[in-house]
Amino acid sequence: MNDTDIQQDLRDYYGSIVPGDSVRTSKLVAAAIGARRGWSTSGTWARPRLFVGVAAAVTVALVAGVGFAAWRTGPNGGLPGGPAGSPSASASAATSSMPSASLIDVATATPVANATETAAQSPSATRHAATSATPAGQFSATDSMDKAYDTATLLLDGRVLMTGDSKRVAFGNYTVSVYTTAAELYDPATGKFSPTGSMVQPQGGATVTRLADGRVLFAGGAEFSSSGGQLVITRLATAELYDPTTGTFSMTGSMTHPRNDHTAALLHSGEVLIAGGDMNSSDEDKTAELYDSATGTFKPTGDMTKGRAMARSVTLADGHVLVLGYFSGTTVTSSAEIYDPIIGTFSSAGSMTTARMSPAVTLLQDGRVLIASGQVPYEVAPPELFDPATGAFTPTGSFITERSITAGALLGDGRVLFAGGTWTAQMGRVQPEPAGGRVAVALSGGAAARALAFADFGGAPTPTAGAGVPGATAPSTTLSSAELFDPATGRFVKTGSMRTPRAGNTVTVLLDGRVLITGGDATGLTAELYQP
Amino acid sequence: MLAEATLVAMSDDDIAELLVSQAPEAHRLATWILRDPVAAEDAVQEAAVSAWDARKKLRHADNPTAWFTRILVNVCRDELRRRGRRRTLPELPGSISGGTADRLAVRDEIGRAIAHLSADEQLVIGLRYGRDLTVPQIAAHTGLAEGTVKSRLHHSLEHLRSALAAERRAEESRR
Repeated sequence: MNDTDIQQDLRDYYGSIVPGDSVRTSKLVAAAIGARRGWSTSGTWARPRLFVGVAAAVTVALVAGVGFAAWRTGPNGGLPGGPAGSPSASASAATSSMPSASLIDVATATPVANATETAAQSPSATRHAATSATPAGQFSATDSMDKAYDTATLLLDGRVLMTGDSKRVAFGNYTVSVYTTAAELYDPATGKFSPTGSMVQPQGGATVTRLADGRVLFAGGAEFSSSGGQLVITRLATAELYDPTTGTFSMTGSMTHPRNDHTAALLHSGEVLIAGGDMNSSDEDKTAELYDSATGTFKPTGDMTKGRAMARSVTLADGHVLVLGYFSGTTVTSSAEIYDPIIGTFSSAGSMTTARMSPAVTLLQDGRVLIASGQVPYEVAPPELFDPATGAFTPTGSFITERSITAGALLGDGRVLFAGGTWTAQMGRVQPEPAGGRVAVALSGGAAARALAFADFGGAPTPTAGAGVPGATAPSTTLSSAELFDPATGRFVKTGSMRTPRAGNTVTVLLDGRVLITGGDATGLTAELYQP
Repeated sequence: MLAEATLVAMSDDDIAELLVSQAPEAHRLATWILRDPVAAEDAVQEAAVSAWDARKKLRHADNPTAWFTRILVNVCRDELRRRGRRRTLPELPGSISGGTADRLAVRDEIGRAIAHLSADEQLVIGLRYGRDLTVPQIAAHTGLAEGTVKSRLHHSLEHLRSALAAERRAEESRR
């Protein structure tokens, strides 16, 4: 090979590298400097790379009153992930304390308060069963829950198991959301929630996986205690099973490692793959293990290529498991890997087009995987598709309304429903409102944010108020809107709006095709049904 | 790089705006050096924070843009050195534009071969063939003499050729 050839190959090679979203890098830099400016005076600054670290995230959750539902297993992170797709999904953060966005009327530049899309419904207004047929594409009220559960699991008989209730408990200097053992069942035939047996022990943050025989596996999680006024988080290795035929929970074998922030996927063999997590507070876990429902025991399998906390996994049509993203130390990444259940090993599957933490992952009917949302700092990552046939990640159509903390549900016609979520007004992002004519803009970050606002908007909007540390004061809007992803066109289309703004709500496709939406609202107790 | 700021005494707000405005080009530069857009994001953030922390020097720099670029290049060099110590190859980029199977195979081969080069060699190769900078520009970004850049480029190509030959021998033996 001569010099000319090798130089041409080098140019071809570098030419094949897509630089990515440089505007996003501007926002990250603005955030990093903004944080540095805000934190440097307190002497407690830690280098803000891509996102706050686990400890910082926990602190934010404690301060902001966000429950540890934020670390709860999300879409397909423990829910059955077979070829038919995830029958149930739960977005991954609580929302009760999220501030509303500031709105600015473009015409008058007048700030408008209370930027939710629709007014919240009171619990009493929705505490009744659906009594009339709902038009296609619309939502209707159904019964409300007694507790604010954050996971919903479709059982084989069509009922839905609700778990993950939490209550606020003071530990020394901290007040945290501590999980309880409560559980309820939703019966679509009657449209009612009713109590069922309680969990043996609270397992907040457990992965929830419906087994092939209909039982439901809860594995790992964390429990909280206090020592010397400091919050102590203890990761759990324990696991338990719910038996729908008896309505009772019982302990099963324990995992080989304590795990929290891990992920789980049901294999075609009937085993459950459990992978990653934050084994201790400073080290992401790269180990994985398999649960054998026949023996009720866990055994190690091959390690992942990287330690991964808050990853998402999905079982592909051919039985392999795709593991997406992770949170490592202070960094959210785009890295992906794939598990081969035949030989029990993981290998790299390249990278998503953007870094994501806990994205909404939906297996489509054609075998591709829709990866949407997933929090990255101060913005919502655009959706993308993974094609197992080529191993490629490619961008697809964008949400009509940008949303994070949302979950997708595969409908019977192959489309994917996204209902609710959070839009965060940060760093100059713009949000058209359904009513038209108004935008929400970021108001924090000082000079850096102003520079971004001008870059994004050509100088049109002028930030007027709300200065503060980026991320800590980001105004957010909880969304009631919903939209559908059509795999045939790769585009999102609007559908009816929910009766109540929700984020971190569960989304469960029922056997009759309707979709049960629970929680994520101001009370965490209400539910509604979507008619495809 | 972007238009160079030549303010005599920049305020904190000026410096913040300068660093943010530099970020897109900095990200492109870091991507060519590190061959990984996500790692490049980290590098730009790290460089920006380092520059911010040292803003007293930046405040009176003759060419603040060049000063920041030098910091970024040093951050990227450190990252390449860390990769070398970990003995890991960078993942291929997540998005590849175009290309046939043969072209993809050559791309993979080139990527693996580059990973065998030293951090300093990867740096100049990335700036020359990725960012398409001239020797004087590379010298300005790296702080090296032009003659050093030329000789480093020459040796980098030699080493790359050797690495490619080794890659191809290994591939042949696997068949």
